[in-house]
Amino acid sequence: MGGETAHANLPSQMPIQIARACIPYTPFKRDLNGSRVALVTTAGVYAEGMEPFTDNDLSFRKIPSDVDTGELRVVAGHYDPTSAAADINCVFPLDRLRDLVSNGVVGKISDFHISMGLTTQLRKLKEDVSWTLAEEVARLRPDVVLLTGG
Amino acid sequence: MGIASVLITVSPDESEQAGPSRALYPKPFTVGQSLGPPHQAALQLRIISDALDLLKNPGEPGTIVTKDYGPTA
Repeated sequence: MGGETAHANLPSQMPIQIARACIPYTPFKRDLNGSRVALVTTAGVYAEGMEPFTDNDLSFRKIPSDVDTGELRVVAGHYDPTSAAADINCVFPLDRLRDLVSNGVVGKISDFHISMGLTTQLRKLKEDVSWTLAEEVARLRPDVVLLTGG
Repeated sequence: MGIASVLITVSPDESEQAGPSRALYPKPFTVGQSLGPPHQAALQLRIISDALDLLKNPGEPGTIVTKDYGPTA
C-alpha cells in the first residue's frame, strides 16, 4: 500500500471547493464628503452625438459629468429600456449623485463616467479590455467607483 | 492601491460570479430599473445612499447585501 497516494480518495474525504479568483477589495478609509465619485455602468448609456452601442460591443463611452441627463440614451436589446428612456437615473444615477454633492454627502463627481454595453466576449473583456477600462477609470482619479448594471 | 467600489445589482446571482468588492441588491427591482421605477428621485436617492453606505462597513469582500424597498409604484 506504500505506493498509494495520500489524495487517492480525496473526493470522498473532503469536499472539493471550486477554485475562485480572489475578490479585489480596497478598503474605504476616507469620508464621502471629501471623496470624488465616478460612475461605471454596463447599462449601455451614451450621450446624443456619440456612437450608440451595437450588439456584442466591447467599446466604452466616456460620459461627461456636466452632460444634460435628458440627452442620455441607452441601447435597446440589452434589457427593456423603457424605464431608462423615461428616466436615465433608473440605471445611471448621475442626477442623484449631483444631489448628494449638493447635500454635502459626496465631495465631488469625477469629470467623466464610463459606460459599456452588452458583450458575451467575456474572455476578451477580462484579459484585454478591462485593463484599458481600469486605466481610464484611474485617470479620473476617483476615490470611489459606483458600479451599475442595466 | 486600488479604488474602493460598490455595485448596485439586480442580478445578484450573476454578480456574485463576478466577485464585486461590495454590492447592494435593491429588492424587488429588476433589470432596467436598478434604482427603481422612473421619476422616483427620493427612492433613487435612498438606494444610492444605501449603496455608498456599504463603503463604511468593513464587510467581507464579495458580500452582496439585499435590502427590500417594498412594492414598486
